Amino acid sequence: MAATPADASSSSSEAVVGGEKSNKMITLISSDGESFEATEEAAKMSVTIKHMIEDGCADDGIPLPNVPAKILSMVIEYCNKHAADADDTNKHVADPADADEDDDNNNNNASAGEKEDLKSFDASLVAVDQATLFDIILAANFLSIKGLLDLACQKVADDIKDKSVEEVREIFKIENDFTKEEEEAVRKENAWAFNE
Amino acid sequence: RVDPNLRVTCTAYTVVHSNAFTSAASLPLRHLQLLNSLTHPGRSLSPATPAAMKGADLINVALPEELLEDVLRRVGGEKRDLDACALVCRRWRRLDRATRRSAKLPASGVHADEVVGLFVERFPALADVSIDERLSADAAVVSAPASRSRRHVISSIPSGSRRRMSPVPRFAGILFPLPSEQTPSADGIESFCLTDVGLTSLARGCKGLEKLSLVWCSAISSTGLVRVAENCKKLASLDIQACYIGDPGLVAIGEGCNLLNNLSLRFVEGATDEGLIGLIKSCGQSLLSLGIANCAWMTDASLRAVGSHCPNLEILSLESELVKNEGVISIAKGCRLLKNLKLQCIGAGDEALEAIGSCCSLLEILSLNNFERFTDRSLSSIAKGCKNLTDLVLNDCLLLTDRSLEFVARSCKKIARLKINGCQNMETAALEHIGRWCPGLLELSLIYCPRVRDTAFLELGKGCTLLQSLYLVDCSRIGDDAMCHIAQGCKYLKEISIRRGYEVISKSASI
Repeated sequence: MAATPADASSSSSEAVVGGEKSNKMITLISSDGESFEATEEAAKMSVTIKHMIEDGCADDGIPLPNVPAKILSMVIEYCNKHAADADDTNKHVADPADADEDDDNNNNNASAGEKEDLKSFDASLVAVDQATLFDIILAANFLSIKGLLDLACQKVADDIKDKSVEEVREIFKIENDFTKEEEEAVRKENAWAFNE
Repeated sequence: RVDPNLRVTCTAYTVVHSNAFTSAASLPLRHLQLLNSLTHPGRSLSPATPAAMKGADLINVALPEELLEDVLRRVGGEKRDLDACALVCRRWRRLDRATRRSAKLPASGVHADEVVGLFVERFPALADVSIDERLSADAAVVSAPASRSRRHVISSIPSGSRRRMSPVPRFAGILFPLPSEQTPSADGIESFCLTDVGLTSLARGCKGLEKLSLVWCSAISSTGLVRVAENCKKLASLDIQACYIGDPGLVAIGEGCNLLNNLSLRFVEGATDEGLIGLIKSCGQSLLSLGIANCAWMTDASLRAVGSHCPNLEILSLESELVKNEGVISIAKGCRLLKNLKLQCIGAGDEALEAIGSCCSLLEILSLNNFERFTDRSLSSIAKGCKNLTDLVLNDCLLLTDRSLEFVARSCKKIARLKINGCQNMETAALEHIGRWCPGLLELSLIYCPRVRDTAFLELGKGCTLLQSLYLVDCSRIGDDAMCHIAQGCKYLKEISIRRGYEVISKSASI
């Protein structure tokens, strides 16, 4: 279920239990005019897009003027992966034919393995340069994809955590715009009022 | 090294577009790229020429306030990290100030009220505040303009109370410049520590206050607490130590703070049972944790109220000379969800603990101190009724013998932490029982147990193989053999501390 340009519109979505979910493909158009396809299910991981679909605005493709192509393809990758995960979990739960204990164990192992798989997918998705990472945050915020926003913001937070002031400034190329007195005052304030 | 143009661009996100356009022609490429992303939000920040973007502060340009705040919030609440973020740049300092949640404020010093007021203005998001008169506010005050008036103030005080003031620091802090006029409090008396005025500023300035701790605040009274009750509706935890608070304050807190789940009163004077009962009647349903220590006014009447109105109580700590069996029995009958109980009440005896044993089956942590009237009967009841017991502390329980521990060991399979201090009648057999019946023991602490001998540890070494920490003080009969037994059996031992163990000699050192 990779994001493909508009011309290859084959629906390669897997068979879903009960046929409740539609296999409809949604077209998403990046700010620089590129079209991407995603299943409705994956697209609806974005609350913004979900509302547009429900309001009937999605038929001719959804333009996303705030999201460039490079970022949109990563976002769609995320949504595909996580929508599929949710689906698989439902499948395992909903499958009554598995009365056999061995099969149950296999299912459990599979979902544990899938979780690991998902975690490493997430980690590699956000192991990018700062500019791309911030673009992902902005896109996830605009599209209201909570999981992706959490993931990307946490990555930045992890880069800040346990670092000294100088290290943070160096990593993010932030200029120290304090006067000497201001900086001294903040240090004193920290020492004076925030003791543990 | 600073490129002034770069600074202009970084702040451009708050500036109207037209400025950016008119000056665009004169800016180098990388600034144009940044400007493009600001005026054309669809454009990515990912540079066409990565080299040109080296040295650019992306995070402050790319992320608007609420997203940067989201990121900084995820860095966590560790002081070290919060402090570092506040020092990175002015924007991050502004965000830190807007979001900082917990602070410890000094309550002594001439300007304590004003300092607290100014502090709260600067940090409006405070939710967890501790005010401590052992800390001085003077370090926060600018000495230059105020010093003249303060010296004037100093000279008008009789020397006795002048000694009470903290000295003007030679190296003055520069946190809060104060007006050179010292504004006297309403009744015309100069105050040298936090008063109700300061507490009121705090209450009004931090309406989201969730945790408040008042330590040694000698000039605070009920009035201050009433203001807190009026303003801080989210207050969940209140801790008062060594203050003089009257009944109206307690009653007001009960009525105003419906979310109160933790109350701790220690060395509080000026109140009576009525005040505490009033509080409990109003917010008893939400109370989960209650601690009363050295409040000489508290009697069984308060405990009866707790039993009647606090069905959800899980943690209770009582240190009182006036409490008797009746009070503890009321608690037992009313607070069936009790998990953690600490008692230091010389007026209570076996009947009290029998009630606990029969009513509080969820009990996990029990600490009994200064027992002169408890006998083995008590622990027999506890053992029978409290099968979930994991932590047991017995301090100065002179009447308890080995049988107590035998009961506990046989019944309470989940015992993990055991501390026996000053129980002179405990002998070797006590520990042998533990060794035989408590395989889950993780921590053992024996203080002043002169009758316990090495052989006890034979069983312990065999049975308590998961032991992680062993602490022995003043156990004169424990020697090398004990250590050998432990060393052989307890492979997970992480911490071992022996003080004044007269028999333990060099052979053990090699273990």
